[in-house]
Amino acid sequence: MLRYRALGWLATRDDVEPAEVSAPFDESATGFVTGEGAAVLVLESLDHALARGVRIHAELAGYGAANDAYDFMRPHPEGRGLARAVSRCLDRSGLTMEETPAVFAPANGVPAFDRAVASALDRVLPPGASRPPITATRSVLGHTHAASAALDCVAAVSAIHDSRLPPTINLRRPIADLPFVAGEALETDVPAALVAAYGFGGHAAALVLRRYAG
Amino acid sequence: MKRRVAITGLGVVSPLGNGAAKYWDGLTHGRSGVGQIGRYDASGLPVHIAAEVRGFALTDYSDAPVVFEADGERVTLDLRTQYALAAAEMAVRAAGLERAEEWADADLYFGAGEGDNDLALLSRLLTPFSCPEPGCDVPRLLARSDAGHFALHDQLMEPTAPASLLAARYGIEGEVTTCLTACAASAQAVGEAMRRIQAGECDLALTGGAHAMTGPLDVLGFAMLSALSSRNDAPARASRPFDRHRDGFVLGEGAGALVLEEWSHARRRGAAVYAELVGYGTANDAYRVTDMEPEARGAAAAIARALDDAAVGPERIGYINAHGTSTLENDRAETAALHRALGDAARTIPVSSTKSMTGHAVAAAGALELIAVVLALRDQVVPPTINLETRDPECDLDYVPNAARAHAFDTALSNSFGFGGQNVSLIVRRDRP
Repeated sequence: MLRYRALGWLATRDDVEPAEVSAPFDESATGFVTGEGAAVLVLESLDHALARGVRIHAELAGYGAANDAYDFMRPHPEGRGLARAVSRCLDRSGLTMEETPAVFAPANGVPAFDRAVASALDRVLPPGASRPPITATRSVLGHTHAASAALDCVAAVSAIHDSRLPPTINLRRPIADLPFVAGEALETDVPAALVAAYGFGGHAAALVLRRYAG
Repeated sequence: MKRRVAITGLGVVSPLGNGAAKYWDGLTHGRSGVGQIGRYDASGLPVHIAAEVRGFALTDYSDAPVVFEADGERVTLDLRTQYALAAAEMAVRAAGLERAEEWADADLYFGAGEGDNDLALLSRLLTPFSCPEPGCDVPRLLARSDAGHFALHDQLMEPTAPASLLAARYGIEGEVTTCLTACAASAQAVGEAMRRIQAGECDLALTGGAHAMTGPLDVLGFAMLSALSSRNDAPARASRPFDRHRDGFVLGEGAGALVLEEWSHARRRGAAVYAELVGYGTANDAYRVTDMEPEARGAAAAIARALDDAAVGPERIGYINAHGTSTLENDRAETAALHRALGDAARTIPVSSTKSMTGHAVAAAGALELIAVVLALRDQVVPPTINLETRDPECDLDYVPNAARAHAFDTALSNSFGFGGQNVSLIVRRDRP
């Protein structure tokens, strides 16, 4: 806490309720709220799972990783590493046009970071009407750091299953013109989900999860 | 069909000297890098010997800034990161790639652990907040003028800092990953980078590892675990793998860096190839955090997987660089693993532990030892296990005692086993003209 506070990354607002402080993608955000947790997934080859006859929660269809190669203490202003990781991931995921994935974005409330994420997503996601909905679970969970992308993967599996995207709460004045899932959960078919992760040090990774249709 | 992987650059920071040539000279002459700890007053510690890097200045090897600046704060980089920057620069220059734009598409896999903490800074910051009241007065701590300095220092201690700084320095925008598998970390990093090239994910990778676990808390911690040799009065004789009178390992430090390239990529640009990386195997003991599985099943599995990966039989292995820490447990278990994985061939293959000279550089050890193997292949000379005076009766292999040996061989194995049961084996082949 001391480190994050002294580096200016921790949200400092005391004029709102604690639950309203974590505001990724919002103009009012002043930093992240630190969180904690763990999420674990079991992966199997499809044949292995079919042979066991187990329930398949989703298919992991793509992965890409990259680095900003920019600065240890701040993200590249246009999210260069994240854009590259997402592009690599989408290129490899073999999704069809009908499977445009909903996006679990790594925005955490640190203004420079959120702008980098928004810039990267704006560049690499399809334009216009086919632009997918974007949500940031760190608004609800806080920033669980090394656990965050795994937690988003579990959320993505549930979103695909339930056809419902969790909201980005506390998002009233978006920093970018993107189709955010603001305020309330969105009831929508989620054939696939993109989980994007972006760490200090410029580390970026992206995963695509897809509904398993047999 | 797997793509072939060439080693085209090497860089070394070690207690035997910096640069591959000095390192190799020390290894082949059987010199010990172990001495009394000189960087701080260690006289009050139960163990006060280590293999320290001496006379190191980053500016001798790289124009990378030794001070990191952000938001008006200036923090001197920890030794681990300085060693990483120096070794990487040597490797990149050796490969002739210091200005190559193709680093943008390269990958970086690096083995590391936490940085070596600035204890003076830490104690200055925390002293007013120590007992009698437990806990910490955060507002008061934050009000201090050096809180920002401490925060930046703390951030730079992150295990991922060396890889991030290397990525920024060379413009490596591909996959940049830090391997944290303790004593096996840099061997794992090399293996993972190799797999990426084999699979066609990249044509060029920077890899290796750096660590400097020679500070007072490191020495004290490992001493309390009874893992270290307490031969304080005879430092050069303290690291004695496979010797009957060994009593633990000696902490070391340093960095090893390698440039890996897809074979035709290296050939096309006319790069000199040191050796070919042909096998990688990794397996876990799934046993206990601080002990090796007594029958060394995980270690044997890693060796067997590396042989499978390289598609070579045990009889093709001409030299083994052992993990060989000089602990009672490791050296017996590793010997058992070699018997288990290699069968009858184990009896005739020279096996040496260069940790007898370098001490144990923890996350940097695997890369440093792989570099020793590459140089051994080049010169057809096997480095010795020094201080091997009376062989442990339960260690019954040819450990190349005390003197380097001329030896004709073309394929070699390097073992790295980590706390946590993490086992990695790598196989290298001589690039025949």
